[in-house]
Amino acid sequence: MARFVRLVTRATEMEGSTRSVGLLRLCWGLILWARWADELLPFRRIEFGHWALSVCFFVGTTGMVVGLFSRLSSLIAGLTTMAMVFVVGHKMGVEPWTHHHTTFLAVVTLALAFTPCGRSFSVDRWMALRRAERQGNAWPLERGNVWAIRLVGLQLSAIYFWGAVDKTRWAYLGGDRLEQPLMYLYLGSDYPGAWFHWAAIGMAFTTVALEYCLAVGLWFQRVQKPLMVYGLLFHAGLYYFLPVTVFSIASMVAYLAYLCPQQVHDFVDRMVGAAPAREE
Amino acid sequence: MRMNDESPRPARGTAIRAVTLLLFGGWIAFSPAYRQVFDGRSTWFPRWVMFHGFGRDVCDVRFFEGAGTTLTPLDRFEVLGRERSWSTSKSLVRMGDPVAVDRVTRKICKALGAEADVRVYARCGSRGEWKVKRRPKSNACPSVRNPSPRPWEK
Repeated sequence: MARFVRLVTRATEMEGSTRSVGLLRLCWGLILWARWADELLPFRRIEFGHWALSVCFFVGTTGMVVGLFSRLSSLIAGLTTMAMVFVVGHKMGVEPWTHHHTTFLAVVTLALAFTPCGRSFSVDRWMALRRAERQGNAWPLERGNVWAIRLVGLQLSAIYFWGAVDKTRWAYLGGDRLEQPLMYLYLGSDYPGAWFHWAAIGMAFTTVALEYCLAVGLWFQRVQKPLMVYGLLFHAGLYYFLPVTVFSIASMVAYLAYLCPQQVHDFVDRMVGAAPAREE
Repeated sequence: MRMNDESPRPARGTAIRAVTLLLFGGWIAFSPAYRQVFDGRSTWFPRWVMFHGFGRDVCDVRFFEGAGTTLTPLDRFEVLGRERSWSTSKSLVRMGDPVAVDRVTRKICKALGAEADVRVYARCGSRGEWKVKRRPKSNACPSVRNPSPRPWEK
């Protein structure tokens, strides 16, 4: 028991650069807008409940994008989107809000509220610098306990794993459940031939194997980079060929959660031409 | 201006973070099992079954000319004099269910005339494997009743 407690406690301590969570927060706010902003404009439905959601959503997501009161903004946006998915979507029957990508967006938004996501790439950061300069202090470091970024990675890994579990059945691995959407979207009622069946089986096995590998492998630095390349190609392919909307870009952005925060920090330094600040 | 080098503050709220990790993290990682493995119904637990039902409104359809001993493939576009186009003949390009298959079959029968012998093989999409809905065992065209007013005179 003591070992378990120690393990859990250790998992909640991850002092590091806040640039990863800052980038995630900024991008996630934009992705939330891409998915929901139009639907939540006040004139779309003249109802009090809709307006309440609209105000909460835009206040929260605007704060996320510009980085103003970032954690609070993420909390507001997270709770709002969770309510949209689990209450409005599932309980009140707004089916398009119950899809996997909307659930993914809501969970990650809430997880960001547990990170110091305002310490980088934000108005919060700019204000902190101004405050330090006024007081004659050194600039605050872009560092904090970023443990909750692991929740973002955990969510994407859960999607890969449970998605692969769902596909580990004969209807999918036998090719049928891949042939159907491809015919529905591209080929119509004309079955192209036996080769199509074998191609579908190949794609099915590849997809399931890749999803299991991504679910686990992205946590290990040794295989992380090649797996990320495969994952990015996989999501780009899904986006191009199937109507997955923002799911692909959200998954790609969530890859930030697996990267070492210091590496992301150094990468940004290199990109802007600053010398990387090394840890002593 | 230089970055300061002060050491990080001692961790606070460890217990709250640990509880958050266990509850939120546990829900993220394990709750899909409730619906996907144990067939639970509560929608408070997510399930990750992407494209479970998408794209199943399509049938793989093959038409044949049944007169004679062998089945000869029939091109529905050629028989009906329509171009193979998603924009102008969508309902002919993609038949979504057995009703749509029967509708196209009737059109083909009509185009081929009263003596037509059209066989249809159709299997349609589902949440699982293809389901065979039509087999080419018999003529799919409506049988011609009393083709002659006095058949015994033949």
